[in-house]
Amino acid sequence: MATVDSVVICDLAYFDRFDRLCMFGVETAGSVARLPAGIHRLSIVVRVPSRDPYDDPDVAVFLTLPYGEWRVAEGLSEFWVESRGEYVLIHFPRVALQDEGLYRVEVTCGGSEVATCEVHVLSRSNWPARTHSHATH
Amino acid sequence: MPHIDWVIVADLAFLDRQMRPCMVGVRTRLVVPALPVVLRQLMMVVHVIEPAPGEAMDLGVVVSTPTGRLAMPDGPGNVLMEMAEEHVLVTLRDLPLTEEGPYRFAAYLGEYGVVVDVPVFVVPTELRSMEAH
Repeated sequence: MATVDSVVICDLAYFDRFDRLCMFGVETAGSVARLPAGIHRLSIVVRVPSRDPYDDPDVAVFLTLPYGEWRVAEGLSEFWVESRGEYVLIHFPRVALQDEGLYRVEVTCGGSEVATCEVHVLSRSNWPARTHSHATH
Repeated sequence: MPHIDWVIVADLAFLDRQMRPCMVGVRTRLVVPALPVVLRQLMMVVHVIEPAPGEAMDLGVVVSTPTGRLAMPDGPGNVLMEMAEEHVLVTLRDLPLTEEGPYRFAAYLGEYGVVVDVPVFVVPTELRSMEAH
C-alpha cells in the first residue's frame, strides 16, 4: 500500500513547465485551515514517496460537512487531479464552504491510506480580506 | 515541545501577508549540466510544530554530499535564516555541488532532525534541449 507522507491545503498549487511543484498560501496551522464562509478555490497537495510516477493516481475524495453529512466528491465536476513524481495535486476550482463549522476532506491515492485535511469555516472571520488590485494604464 | 514537521527544498520561498509559506519550484531532484557546479540560490522551508512564542529555537541546517561530506556554502551571508511563527526560511546561496547522487538537506531542532534527500543528476545541455523538443 502506498503511504502518504504529507498532505497540505493551499490557495493554489501547480506544476511548472519543468514539472516542479509550486505552492502558494500553504495552510499549516495544524491540518486545519480557517476560512470565511463562501466559495473558495483550494488545492490539496499529497506527497506519496512510494508511488510509481507512471501510474494513474486514482484519487478518491470524501467530504464530511459540518452537520455530519458525508459524501463522495465527484471527479471532473468538483475536482481534478494531476501528478508528477511523488506529488499528487487535487484542485477544487470552486468549493462551496457556506456553513460555519468543520469540513473534513479525506483523500486516498491509488489505495493509499486515507489522508485528512480539515477546513474550519467561520461566518465572521478575522482573516484579512483578500483584495485583487488591477493596474490601470 | 517544538519539533520539526516537514522540510521542503525549493528554488524560492516566501511568506505571504497572512504569514503562510509560498514555494516556487519544489525540488525533488536537481538536474545540472556538469559537475562541479555552484547553485546561485536554493531555499529550505522548515515547518516547526508548537514553537514556543518568544523563545529562541536551537535550529540548525546541514547539507551533505552523497558521500557524507559537508556541502554548506562558504562565505558570510551565504546562509540566511528567517523565522516567522512556525516557519523557518533558510536561504542557501552559492551552494557547491560536486557529486552525483542524493544530497541530504537536514534541519535539526535540538537532537531531532528531519532530512530530505534530493538527488543530483548530470544531464548534458544537448540532451535536455532534445527532451524539450
